[in-house]
Amino acid sequence: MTSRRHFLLGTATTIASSLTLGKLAFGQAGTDRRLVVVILRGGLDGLAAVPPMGDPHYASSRGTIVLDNAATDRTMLDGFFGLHAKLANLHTLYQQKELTIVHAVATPYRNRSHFDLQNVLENGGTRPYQYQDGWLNRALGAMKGPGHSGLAISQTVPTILRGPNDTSSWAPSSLPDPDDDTLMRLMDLYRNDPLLGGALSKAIETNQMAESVAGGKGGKRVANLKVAARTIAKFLTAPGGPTVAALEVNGWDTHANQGKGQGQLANKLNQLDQGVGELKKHLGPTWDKTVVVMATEFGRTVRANGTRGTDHGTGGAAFIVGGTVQGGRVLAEWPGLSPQDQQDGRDLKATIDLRSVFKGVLRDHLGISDHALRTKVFPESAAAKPMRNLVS
Amino acid sequence: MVKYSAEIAANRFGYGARPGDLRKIGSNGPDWLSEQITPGKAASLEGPSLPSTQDLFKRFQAYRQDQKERKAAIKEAKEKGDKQQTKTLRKQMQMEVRGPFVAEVQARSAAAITTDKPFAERLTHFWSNHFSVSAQKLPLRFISGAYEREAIRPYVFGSFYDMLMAVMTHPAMLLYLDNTQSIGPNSRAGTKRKRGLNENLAREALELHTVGVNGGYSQEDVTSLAKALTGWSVHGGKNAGTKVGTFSFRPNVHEPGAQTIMGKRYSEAGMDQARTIFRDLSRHPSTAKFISTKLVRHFVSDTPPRQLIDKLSRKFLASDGHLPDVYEEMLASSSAWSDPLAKVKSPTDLVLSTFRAVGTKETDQMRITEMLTLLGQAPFTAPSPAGWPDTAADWIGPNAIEKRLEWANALAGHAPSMINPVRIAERALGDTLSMATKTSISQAADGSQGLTLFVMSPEFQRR
Repeated sequence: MTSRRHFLLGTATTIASSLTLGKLAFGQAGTDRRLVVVILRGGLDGLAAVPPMGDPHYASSRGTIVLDNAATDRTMLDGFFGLHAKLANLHTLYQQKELTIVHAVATPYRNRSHFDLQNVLENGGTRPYQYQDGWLNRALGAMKGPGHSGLAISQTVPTILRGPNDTSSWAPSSLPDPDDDTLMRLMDLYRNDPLLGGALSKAIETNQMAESVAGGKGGKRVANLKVAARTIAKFLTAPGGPTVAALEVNGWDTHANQGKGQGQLANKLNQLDQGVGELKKHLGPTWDKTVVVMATEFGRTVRANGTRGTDHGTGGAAFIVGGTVQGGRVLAEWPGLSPQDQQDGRDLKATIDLRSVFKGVLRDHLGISDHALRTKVFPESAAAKPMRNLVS
Repeated sequence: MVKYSAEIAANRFGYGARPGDLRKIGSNGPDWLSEQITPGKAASLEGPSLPSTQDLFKRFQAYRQDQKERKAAIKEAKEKGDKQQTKTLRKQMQMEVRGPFVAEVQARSAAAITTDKPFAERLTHFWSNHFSVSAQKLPLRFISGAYEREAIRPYVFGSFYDMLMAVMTHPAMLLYLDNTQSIGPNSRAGTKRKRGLNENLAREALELHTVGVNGGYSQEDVTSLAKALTGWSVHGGKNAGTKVGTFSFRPNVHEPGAQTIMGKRYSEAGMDQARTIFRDLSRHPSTAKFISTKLVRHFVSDTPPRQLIDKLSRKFLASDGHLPDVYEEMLASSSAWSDPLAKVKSPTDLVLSTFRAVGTKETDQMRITEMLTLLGQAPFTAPSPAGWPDTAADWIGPNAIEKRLEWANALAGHAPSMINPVRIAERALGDTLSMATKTSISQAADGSQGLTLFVMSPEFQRR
């Protein structure tokens, strides 16, 4: 296999002068802290992942999908909240005080569309398609010191990481590399094409890093979350590696037969849990400087629907896990599950703005000022104050 | 005279120029496209005929029924330590599902690569994506292709309402969005069993298929439509007999009573209740605007000009959703002909146009499914009911461009040595071929590198 690193060392000046597309390697960032944002696409059922066992209306309202078996369906986190039994790694992390859960949380926008709410979750505004770029990209620009970059484990960069600041996307491949000569000629052909030229030069740069940290291109696609987690760990621990990473996990839209302690949702939760375990393992000492935030576009209906699943809802659960997390807590202003307390008589109300969670993490973990958070990263978010003490 | 008339017609509205196409089209781009619009006639799939949904559904049922035995046989072979037999049985099991699926993908791709009516094929794919289903669910793996042939193709040049009804009564959509399981809580079946509504199809029908997310509906409207849709199902049980795998209206699970949707009351009328609702939704101004926006985004620009959207919407409403009129309106607009490289190609565009450009005929030998999966657009497998996205930012990223390059490079490596990539580029890109690209291709080290540079060139990556 041709070494892309060799290619770059040999011809870096040519490319830099012909493309003027910015740095050719991830620079040294002014912090050794790392942030991973996991977007759970489809709408995770927060009432199944973190069931409010102590709510007097929980058991009666969940019907066919109530997690009623203490032995097989869930454990307890405190006197009120349980945790789905398949989230075993997360349970351990909770006990080690490295996991905090925020419940009854949602974006500031209210409807039940996957697409609108995923967009609001990622653009960081108050309405769908308000901004073209994403809050995680804007956060890169608001951090102290130069050299911060972001990485998405996917073919293209998702909205949350899109924007003017330095980002790339990476996924392993099974095809051979084109030779250096072809690459050079193509770079030259893209001289006046910022879209394609920018993407290709970024790809070369990221591949250079992949080669030095991930031992080449992998050879297999990201078959599961464990592989993705290992890949992220390798990038985040590399010298000059990205400060933030984004990962998308699909498949939470459990309209039918979502199951209880076993079944469709349980399998998904198990995968997620395994992914977190793998990430911690492979981050090694870097775990102590890492925060992983896992959030979804909406929670799901309180009642099971007619097909033993749940429909699109409002309030859900978010997870903040990592070495700097002040964990072992479930934070909520619990709205209650009685019919009159539900959003539109069907959903868990959202009493906490998801942006407060993100802002708290960005401020206390990555050192972004309140002012920058309010004006640049999350404009129009003055009412959603950063949550205190999520991380130390 | 329109500049780039042939290039825009063949490359943006079609699936790319084959050798000779641009010369043939000349300055008659709009006419060449208009001739492909055949009002009232189906956009039929060219090539060998494929099984119906009903036949494929039976195969799915047989597969599911044999699943236990097959798994037991594999287990037995495994326990015996017979590796060869284990492998053979596994492969057989995969092929049961893969066989029909790959046949659909191959037929669809071959048609798009060889057709003389590429505009009709692109329109078919546009609508199939608008009413997206995904082969990720098992029964859909068998019937997604048949769905496109039966519910989309016959109506591409018909009325929007007819297509909407064909989609909503097709087993693929009813299974994909769970409507077969939805039961009216007060229906005969609902009062006996502890099952009820599933609002998945109703919500997406409003949000993604008709009026759009800002089209003016509420949560109550979603629930009401879900109730009206109860009973829209598929013959599948033991008593289905010859009707297995066809649409079934089941009165005993239909929610009785009137429903109110977007301010209008629909009295109880069995299946006709939701049919009437769909009739009204298909004529709604929000639907006209939503469909027009998507058409313009796909065929004209990532940022659809407001004026053109309004023009198409008016035509949509005036013609009662007669789609040929809407297409003609788009073709008659000057903004559709102003920029020859306005759109970035999706992976499907790129693969199909590459094969058209090089003039390949032996499509049955090609591993199109693998190629498209590698490039991030696995056929019949859009990531959500919204279908595939349609802007440059959705398709171009560092890893995406690298995957395209790796694919082009591998493909060019298999090209015969005597190919002339400059000639291929000239015939595919016409006047949009830039001097810089032409020079780069002509100075390539060999034909294979030249072909890679052509496929990856800024012009060929766009349409």
